[in-house]
Amino acid sequence: MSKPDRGNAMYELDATADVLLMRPQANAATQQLNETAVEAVLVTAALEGDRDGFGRLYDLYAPLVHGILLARVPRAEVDDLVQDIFLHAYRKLDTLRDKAAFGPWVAMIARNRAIDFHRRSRETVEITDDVRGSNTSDSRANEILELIRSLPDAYRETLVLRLVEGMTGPEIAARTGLTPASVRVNLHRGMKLLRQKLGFTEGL
Amino acid sequence: MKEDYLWDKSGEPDPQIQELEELLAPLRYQPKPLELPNELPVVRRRNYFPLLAIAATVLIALLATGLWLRVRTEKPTQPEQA
Repeated sequence: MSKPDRGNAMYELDATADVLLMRPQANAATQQLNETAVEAVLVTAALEGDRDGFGRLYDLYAPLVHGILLARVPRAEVDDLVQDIFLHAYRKLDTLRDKAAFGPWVAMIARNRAIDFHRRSRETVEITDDVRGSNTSDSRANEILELIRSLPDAYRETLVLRLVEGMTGPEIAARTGLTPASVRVNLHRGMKLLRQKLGFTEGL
Repeated sequence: MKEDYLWDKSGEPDPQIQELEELLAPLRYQPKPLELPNELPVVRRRNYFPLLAIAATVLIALLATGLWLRVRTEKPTQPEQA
């Protein structure tokens, strides 16, 4: 994206976001507070016409949207859908009531888009990924992803965000708006079911 | 505890989870630039407050003028002294 002609206010907003992102993460509550503050700053900047501000929101939340979609739609569709969702979010950003809730809002858009995708695809072909993949590691990754997708909704999304996208439980809670307790339960129960499906013995 | 590793990657690593993380790594999000079309209008929040303030001011001015005219026309005339 090209840099717009920015006034001092834009640089101040950028600096605020940078400082908030650099703050050391003392605990989950602090992390959640910092992420919320960053969201509000960047949404404010984007609403004032700062495309780079929206670009930073994209950088922060694209992995979240990618993970939510990967848990629900074929892998080949995910990248295009990520772009579509953020374009949609950009057009509709002024409808976001709570500027500090961009993450949960865009997460909801992603889930709804996944539902729409399946609704449109229902009458055509059964949607499954080609598990053969281009190589052995891809093939194994796809097999495990299919197992995760066979789990209940709440577990598979959380597991994909944790195991694929590499987010921690506190990060998942902060970005999706779920409570840390819910995320913890989803991770624990989801992992238990996944171990059973994989034939792993329960981790100690 | 190994449960801590699943939660926030702290504590003793769980080898099964580590194995899954390595196997699933090819599926992880790879950063791509967001392509906003140039013709896409810049989002600007609509601020109706100035318009509402002007409308309210005009309304109050009209009401005040109407009231003043009404009071002026109803003002009783002084009786003539003989």
